[in-house]
Amino acid sequence: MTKRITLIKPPEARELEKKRAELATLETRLAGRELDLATLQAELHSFEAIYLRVVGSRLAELDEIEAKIAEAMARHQPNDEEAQKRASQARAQAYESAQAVETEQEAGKREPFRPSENLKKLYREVAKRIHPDLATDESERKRRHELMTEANRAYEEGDEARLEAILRDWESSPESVKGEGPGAELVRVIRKIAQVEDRLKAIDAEIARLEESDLYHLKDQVDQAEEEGRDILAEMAAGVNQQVVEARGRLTSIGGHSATL
Amino acid sequence: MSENDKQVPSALVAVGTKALTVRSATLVKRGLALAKSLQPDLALPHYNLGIALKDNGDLDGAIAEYRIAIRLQPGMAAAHHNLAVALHDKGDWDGATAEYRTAIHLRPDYALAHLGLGNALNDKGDLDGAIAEYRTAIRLAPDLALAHCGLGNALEMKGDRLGALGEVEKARELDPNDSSIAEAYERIRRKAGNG
Repeated sequence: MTKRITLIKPPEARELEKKRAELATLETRLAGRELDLATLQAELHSFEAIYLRVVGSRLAELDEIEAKIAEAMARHQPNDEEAQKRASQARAQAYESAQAVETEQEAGKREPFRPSENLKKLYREVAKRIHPDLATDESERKRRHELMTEANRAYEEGDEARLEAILRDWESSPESVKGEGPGAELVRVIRKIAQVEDRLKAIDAEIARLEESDLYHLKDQVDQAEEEGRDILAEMAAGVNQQVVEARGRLTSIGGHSATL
Repeated sequence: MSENDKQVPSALVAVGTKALTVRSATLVKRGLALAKSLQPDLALPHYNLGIALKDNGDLDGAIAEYRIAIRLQPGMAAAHHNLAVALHDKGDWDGATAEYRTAIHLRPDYALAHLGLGNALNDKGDLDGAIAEYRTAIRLAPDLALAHCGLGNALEMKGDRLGALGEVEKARELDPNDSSIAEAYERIRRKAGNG
């Protein structure tokens, strides 16, 4: 009579298997949400740059003329406190606008952010494998964080080759090697699940806040108009240009100078 | 700078991403105001499409279009009102109440929105609130038959049968062809007769 031996997995191993499956699902979800957030950020970033170039620069020009008008008026009425106050406020506004526009001009001309499907896929893969919230100790977290920073930059710049290189390097690095017994592994997996869940909540909150921002609403308006075949940014720029012309006329008529503008 | 703008930098600090500059917050706010001032002609087609979809029985489609119209032109009271009606038809009384209130906030003399709000409050069981809204609707538009009918129904539920009968009689006089008014009139008249 032969004896049949049935291999029964110890409860710890069964639990580990279950938790690993749970983590795998969460990792996929996390990678997708990181992609959503990175895409939204990059879209807003590039939109802001385009907006500042097309409309912001003209508003800054208008603010500069308005500041000169207010300063000329203040010179004409040296004892009028209100006129002095208005001049100082107008100058502050002109300075703020000029600074904002200058920052973007230094960054160079940008195109709207339109990631390819392959770029998105690569980013999702990087986030899934390298995400800092999948680290189990501080030094590993730091290393993962550095790589994610690089990956985010590559994603925003549309650099597929760089993302591929990050993935390749990671796969051959010691951090990607797993080991130890099922008990320690189970603790590690449970900790990762908690970290990933926290990160998912943080991403949801960040996306919700971004979608409430003025920049998002402005982009939304521009996108809607584009769908209807209108270039609202160009229309806005034309409107501000008209205001610039009128302001120049006012400045000239009160004896200020507009030739340098 | 609004609260939302202040939140932008922290919101953008994701894993390894750099924060978006907020030095342009004022310029963005001015841009948003400019864009909105240019958008009214964009909102109208969505509003009209919402009406057409609702007429065809596509409530979800209508709701989506009204929401787009509102996003493009947040001050469009009629879009808020129509969205409220569609939400009400879907049974979302809270959503409908909120949209009716927005429409009224934008246009305090909007009699139809007061009537709608009265109906929504009535459905939620707030009879006193409903009666107040029906009375406002009647004050703004004395010939609004459905407001008289709504007020009659609400008064009847409060036990004021004579007051109720007066209102449904007025409603029937104003619109003798409306079947819901005729039904309310018959029911309240019978009860008043029995009382």
